Amino acid sequence: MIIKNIIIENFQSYYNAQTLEFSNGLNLIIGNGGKGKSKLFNAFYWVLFGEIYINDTGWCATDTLPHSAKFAMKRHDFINKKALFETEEGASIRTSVHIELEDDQGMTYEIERSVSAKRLAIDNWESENSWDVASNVLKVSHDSRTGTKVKIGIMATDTINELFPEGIRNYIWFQGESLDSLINFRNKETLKAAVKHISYFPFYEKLSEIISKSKTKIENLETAKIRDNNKNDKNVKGLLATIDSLRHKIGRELENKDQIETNISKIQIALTEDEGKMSGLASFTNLVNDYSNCEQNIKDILNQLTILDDYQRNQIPNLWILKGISPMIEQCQNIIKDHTEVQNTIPEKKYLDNPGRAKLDEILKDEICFVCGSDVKEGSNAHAWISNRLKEQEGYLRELEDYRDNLEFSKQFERFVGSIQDYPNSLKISLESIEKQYSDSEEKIEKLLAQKRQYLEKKKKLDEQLEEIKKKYGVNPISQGNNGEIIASTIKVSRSSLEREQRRLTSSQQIITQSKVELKVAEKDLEKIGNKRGGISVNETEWKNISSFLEDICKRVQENARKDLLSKIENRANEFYKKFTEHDNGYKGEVKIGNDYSIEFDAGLNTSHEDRKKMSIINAMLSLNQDAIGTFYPFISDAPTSSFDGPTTHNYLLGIKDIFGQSIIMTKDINIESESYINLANESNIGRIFLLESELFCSEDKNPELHEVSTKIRALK
Amino acid sequence: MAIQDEMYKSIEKEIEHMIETGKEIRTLNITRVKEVAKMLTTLSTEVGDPDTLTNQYIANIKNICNTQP
Repeated sequence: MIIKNIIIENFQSYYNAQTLEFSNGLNLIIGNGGKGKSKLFNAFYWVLFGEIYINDTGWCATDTLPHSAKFAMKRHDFINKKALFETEEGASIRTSVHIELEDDQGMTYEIERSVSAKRLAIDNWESENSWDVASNVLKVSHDSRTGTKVKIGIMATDTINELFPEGIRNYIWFQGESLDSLINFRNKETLKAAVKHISYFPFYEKLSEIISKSKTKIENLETAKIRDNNKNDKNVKGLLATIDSLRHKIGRELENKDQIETNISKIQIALTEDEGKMSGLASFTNLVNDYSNCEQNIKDILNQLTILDDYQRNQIPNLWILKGISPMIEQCQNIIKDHTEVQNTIPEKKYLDNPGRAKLDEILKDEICFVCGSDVKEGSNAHAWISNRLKEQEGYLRELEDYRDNLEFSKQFERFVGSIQDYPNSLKISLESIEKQYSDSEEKIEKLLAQKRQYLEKKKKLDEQLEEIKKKYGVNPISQGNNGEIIASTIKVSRSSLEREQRRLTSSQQIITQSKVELKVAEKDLEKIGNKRGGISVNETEWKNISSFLEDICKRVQENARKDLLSKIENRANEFYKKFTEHDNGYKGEVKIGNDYSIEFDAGLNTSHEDRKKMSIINAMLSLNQDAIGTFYPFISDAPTSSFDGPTTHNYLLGIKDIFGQSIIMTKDINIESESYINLANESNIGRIFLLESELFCSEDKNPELHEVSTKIRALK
Repeated sequence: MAIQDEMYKSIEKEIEHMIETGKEIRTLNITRVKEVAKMLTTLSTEVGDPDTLTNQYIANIKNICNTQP
């Protein structure tokens, strides 16, 4: 089957009608995050099954949103926002997805799912109450011998279910996020389920079931006929009654044995899991100690940080006050200094009063110095000097007078200054001390934060180790460390149950063997009677003999086919895995599958390698199925795994392009400017390549996230 | 369908092996056994549940045993 095209109209990020045409081989959809890859993936799923994928929730039916979604998604949220925005009050908007398929017989199917939403008279177009969203309508048209058939509703759903059986859907269409649920190395039931859904093995099971059920029916037919032919023969009747009873007993005991075997298998799985947990708990004592020390250290650091933070909160007001008064303190210091200087200056100027004013006046009057006899006439230098000296003396005397007038006050002030002159210094010392304490605390906080970062880094590494342990042993030694006793007691109970069931199985097998022996004896006795009479057998006897013979053979063939299939899966998965890891250096390991559906968990591998192993197994099974049944389903995957880098994606695409009749892969990990892309595009069996881009409709001042953005499809090949 | 051929080949191989080792063959008509095996592999790849297909199997085996030499 191939998907020929898809037309998406007003669905999620796709505004108006947009078409993608597909071909056989690999169809590649490239687009960065948010460009519409997942929306395209949703469009495929929605048109067929009416569901969209919501991260961390899974597939949700759009008709029942938001009830099935964990968060409040509105009923109209899957309709394109720009289309909603442009719809006027009272008008309706239609969203639809249409795909055209061609099945293996060349029959064409056209499938369309649509929804209409009417805008109600409410101003806020985004409000849930603004829209009356109808239920979706599904329509399937397909070719038939009598012409084109059109089906809607349940009939259309039935047709889709026939085209894509439920079990296979998750394996042919999946998102990277759901990979773990499809193949889990710790749970062999996942591989068993995968074998049931995407392998040819169920045909072998059906083969055995048909032959076993047919044989039982034929035996009943044979007995009834022989009984009818020998109505009056007591011996025959007696033997037939014995045969009936023994067959019934064997049948019942076989059912019982199957049940016991199922129980044993369940107990063994639980036991293996619990033993793994115990082994996990026992092996990681040091890790648990490291982890709890690390957590305790982080806790201590946080406590210390809280104390320092409290201290800083308390000190900040003091510091601010002190900082605020700091200029005033300095001002006080200056005033005291100035005062002290003035105090010292006045006595120093005493020389200005010697010689006194009377002597100086006398010199000016006599115009001659009475000491040296110099001429002091007006206009001479000596005259000018003495005049100036008289002025200075006048100033000094005035100051001296003031000083003497305020002497008592000055003395008091001086005493006051003397008593406070140390205060500013003390305050400054306090201020410096508080500042130092604050900066010390800052330093301590920085050191603690650095230590915290170190411990968090260590804790992160320990968490990663724990994640690995959880994967390998299914137990978290930290959170389940105290569960050891409970697990040990569960193991004890499981072992005891296992012993009991094994005893029951032995007993059941003995009953079956014994009953079969008795049955054989009874059948031989019947044969002997028949031989004496010249034959007692009927036509059904030959059918029974052939069917019994084939029943045994079919059981062996089925078991051989099961083992063979698991071995083929392992081989083919390794072929793919080798291809997917071609460019990797270092240890890669290999896929190892046991006869009991177990897949070896390799603790030495990282997530990317694990994912590649899982993808290899799924792809191996799908390709084996395709070979065996001669039919294929389109393989559609959105971001096969998020752990793939560019080169891995490249190799992955090269690996799968020839596996599937048609594959549609959406990825962000391709750079269309790169050389590897050009090489890839030129490879055979790569049919179509599309690039998804964003188209903005709004002006720059508007928020494009809201309603003015759409996915734009560009065909590259 | 390839799987149908594969299943038949496996059954035929087992039949041949039993003939070679002389086990359980006794009075069985090997041509008829193989014909029934072929019919059975066809049935197992048909649509329908095993319960329904047993009726078809019985009708077919009757036909094979009546017509095959």
